[in-house]
Amino acid sequence: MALKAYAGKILKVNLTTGSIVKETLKEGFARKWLGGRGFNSKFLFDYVPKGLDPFSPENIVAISNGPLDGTRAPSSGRFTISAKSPLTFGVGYANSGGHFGPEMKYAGYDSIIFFGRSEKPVYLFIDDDHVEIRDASHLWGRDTFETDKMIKEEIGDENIQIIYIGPAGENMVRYAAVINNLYRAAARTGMGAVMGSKNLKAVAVRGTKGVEVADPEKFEETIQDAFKRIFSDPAYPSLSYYGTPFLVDLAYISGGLATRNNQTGVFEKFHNVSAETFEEKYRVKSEGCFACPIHCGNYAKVKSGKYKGAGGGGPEYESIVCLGTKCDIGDLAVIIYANELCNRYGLDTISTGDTIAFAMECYEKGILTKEDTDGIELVWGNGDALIEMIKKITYREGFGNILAEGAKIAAEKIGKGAEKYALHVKGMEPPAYDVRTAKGFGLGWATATRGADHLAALPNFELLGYPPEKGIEWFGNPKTVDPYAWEGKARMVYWHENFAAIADSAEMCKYTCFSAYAVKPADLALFIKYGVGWDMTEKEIMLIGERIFNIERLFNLREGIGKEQDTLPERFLKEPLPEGPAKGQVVELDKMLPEYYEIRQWDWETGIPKIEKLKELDILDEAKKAGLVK
Amino acid sequence: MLFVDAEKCNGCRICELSCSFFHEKVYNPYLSRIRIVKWELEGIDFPVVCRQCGVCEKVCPTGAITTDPETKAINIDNSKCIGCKTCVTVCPFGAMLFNAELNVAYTCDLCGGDPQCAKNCPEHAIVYMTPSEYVEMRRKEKTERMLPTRKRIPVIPQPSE
Repeated sequence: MALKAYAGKILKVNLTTGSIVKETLKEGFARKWLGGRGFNSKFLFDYVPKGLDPFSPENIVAISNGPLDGTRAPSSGRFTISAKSPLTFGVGYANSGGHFGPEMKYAGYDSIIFFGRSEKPVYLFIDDDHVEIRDASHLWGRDTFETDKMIKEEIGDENIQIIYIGPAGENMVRYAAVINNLYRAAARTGMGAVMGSKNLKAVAVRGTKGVEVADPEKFEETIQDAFKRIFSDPAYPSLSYYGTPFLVDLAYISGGLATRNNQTGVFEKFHNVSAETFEEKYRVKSEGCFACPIHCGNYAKVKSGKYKGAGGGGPEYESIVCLGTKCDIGDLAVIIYANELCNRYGLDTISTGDTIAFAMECYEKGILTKEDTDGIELVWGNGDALIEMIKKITYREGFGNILAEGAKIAAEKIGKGAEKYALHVKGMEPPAYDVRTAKGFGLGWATATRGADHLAALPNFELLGYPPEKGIEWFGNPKTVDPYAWEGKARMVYWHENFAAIADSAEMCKYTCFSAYAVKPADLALFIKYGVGWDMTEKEIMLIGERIFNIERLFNLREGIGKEQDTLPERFLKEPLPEGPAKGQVVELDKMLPEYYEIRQWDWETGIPKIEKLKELDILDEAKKAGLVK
Repeated sequence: MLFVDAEKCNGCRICELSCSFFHEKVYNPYLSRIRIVKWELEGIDFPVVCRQCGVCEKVCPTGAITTDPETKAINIDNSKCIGCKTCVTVCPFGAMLFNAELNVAYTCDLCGGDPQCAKNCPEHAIVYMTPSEYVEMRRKEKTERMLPTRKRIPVIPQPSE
C-alpha cells in the first residue's frame, strides 16, 4: 500500500557516471527517521566515509523534504540539504523555506542524493517522472538571479522551482549557501561549496502530482486548530508585519545587540537599524513561504542615495546584525545592499558578516594592516570595505581568498594571535544573538551538531517573559524562564533540540513551533498521524528527534569532533559584557554542560552516547560501525 | 462576491491549497482554480481568480456557461461544453482554466457559496462579501491611515493575558 503524505521515492543521481536510479522509500525507514533532516543525517552516516575531504567526489549532497511538505499544514514548505561540511568537517545541513520543497514532493520524490562529481557544470531537471542531467556551462559564473531567470526561460516555464548556487559556491567558499526563490537561503555549513565541488549548479523541478493525506477531515481540523493558536501568539503581529527585524529591537533591549565582533552588546547607532526605521524607510511588503500564515519574509528597497535600487527579499535579523552591527555598520542601506549581494553570490550572511567582523577586529588590534588586506581599510563601520570584501571573498581574490576559508582557518593562516578573535564553535561562526544574554542559547551553541547554531535548540522559552510557574511546569525549574540564569537550562535545551530535530524533519518551520509553541510535539504528532496514517504519539516523535540528534553526534564523533569541541569562544565564557542591561554577564557553560551530558546519557569522559541510550534509540549498530562502542 | 486585493497578497499560496483540497481532496496547486502569479524579482504576488464578470458567458457558443443569479458564480455544464476554449482566450484575467483530459473548461465556482480561499487567507487579501460591505471596509481601511492617532503595530510583542 502506498504511503500517504510521502512521495514514496528516493532519487539517486551519480554525477560521475550519469546514472539515475529511483528507489522505493521503505515505510520502516520513513518511520524511523521521519524525513527532511532525519533522512539526510542517516544518509550522511551511511554514505560518507570517515576522514573524507568534503570537496572529494565521495562526499554526497542529500536533499530531502518532509511528510508535511506540499500539504496545507502551517509553514510546511521547507527542505533540508546536507553534506559533510567543508566548514566544520562534521555534519553539515541547511534548511530553507520558499517553495522548492513542495514542488519536489509533487514531482514524486522525498529525497534526492547526489554522488560523485560531474566533469562539466551541470544541473538536474526533474519533470515528474522524467529526470535529466543537463548542461550548465552557460550558467556557470552567473549569479543566482540570472540563473533563476535563464533556467526558467530555457525550460519555458515560470512556475518551476529551483535551488542554485552562485559564484561563491562555484569557487567553493567554505560558507557558500544554496539559494532558492532568489532570496531564501539554505545558508549555513557551506552546502553551496559542496555543490560547487561537484560542478552541480542547480536542481530544477516541476511537480504536478499533488499530495494525499490519510485522514483529510481530521488533518484539516488539526490545521484549523494550529492556525488559531498561531494567530493568537503574542509575537504574531510583530513577526508577521516587521519580520525578523523586530528581533533587532529585542536584542537591543536585552543588552545583547552584538557590536564589533561581540566586544559589546550595546550598539550606539541602534535607531538607524531598528525595526521602525526599517519599516519607515525600506520595507515594501511581506513575503510568505509555502503554506505559511506567518509570512515573516520581507521585500525591501533602497529608494535613494548611494545604494539606490538595492533590495529584494530580506534582510533578516541575523543579516542585519552579522553584516551590520557586528561590523559596527549602522546603515540599513548598506546592509540591504550587502544582503542582496549575498543572495546573488550565494553566501551565508552570518558566516560572511562574522568573518569580516573578525578581520575588522584584527585590523583594529594591528594584527592585520592595509598591506595584508589589499589596501582595503577594514575599520569598524566601513560599509565600502564590507561590500568590497564580500566581492573578494566570492571570487577568492587576494585577501578574500583567506577570508573565504572562514574565521577559524583564516585565523590559523594569519597567525599573530588572530585566533583569539575568530569566534566559532566546531569551526562555524556564531549567529546574531549574544548568548551572554541568553544562557540556554549559549548551551545550544556549544552542543549543536552543526557548530555555533541558534536553530539546533532555539530555546525561545527563556526569552518570552513567562512566569516562573511555567518554568516549573515545563522543565522542573523556575529559572528556565530567566535568560540570564543557567539553572535548569540543560533539560530545556535537551527538549528543544529533540523537538527542533523533528520540526526540521517533518519540515515545519520553527517559527510555527517555537514562537509561542503554537505547534508542540503532541500537535506535530497529530499532523503526522492524520497525514501519514501512523499511530504517532508525542513520546515516539520525540524519540525520533533524539535519534536524529544522536546520529549526527555519532557522525561527528567518528570524525573526531567530540567533547573537547562542546565549548564556546573565550569571549562568551570569560569576557563579561562591559555595559548595558546585561553588564557583567558571561555564559556559565561549565555549570550547564555536565547536567546536559547526564540528561543526554553521554559519557562525561568521551562524549559518546552510552550503550543503554544507543539501544533505546536503536542506533547501536551504527555506533558499533563507527567504532565508538564495542 | 469575491474581492481580491493583490497588494495584500504575500504569495503563501494557502488559497491554492484550500481550493484544490475542497474540490479534489488533495493538495495540488495545479488543480486549483485560483493561482498566484509571482514576479519574485519585483516582489509582486498577484492572485488570479474568476471575478464573476460574465464575459465568458457572453461568448460561449453552446450556452454551457451560466451565471448563478444570486452569487454570480460561473457555472459550466460539462455536457454542453465542446472544449472550444473561447472562454479561456477571452477571460480578461486568465482565470478560465482548461481540463485537457475531459476537454472542458473550468473555473472558480465560489465553492457553492463558502469560498475556501477567502476563509483561509491569513491576510484577507481575498474576501467574500457583498459589494457594499466591501466598499465600506475599503473606506475605513484607506482613511484609517490618515489618522494621526492610527494604531501602529507594536514592534515588541505585547504579552497575552
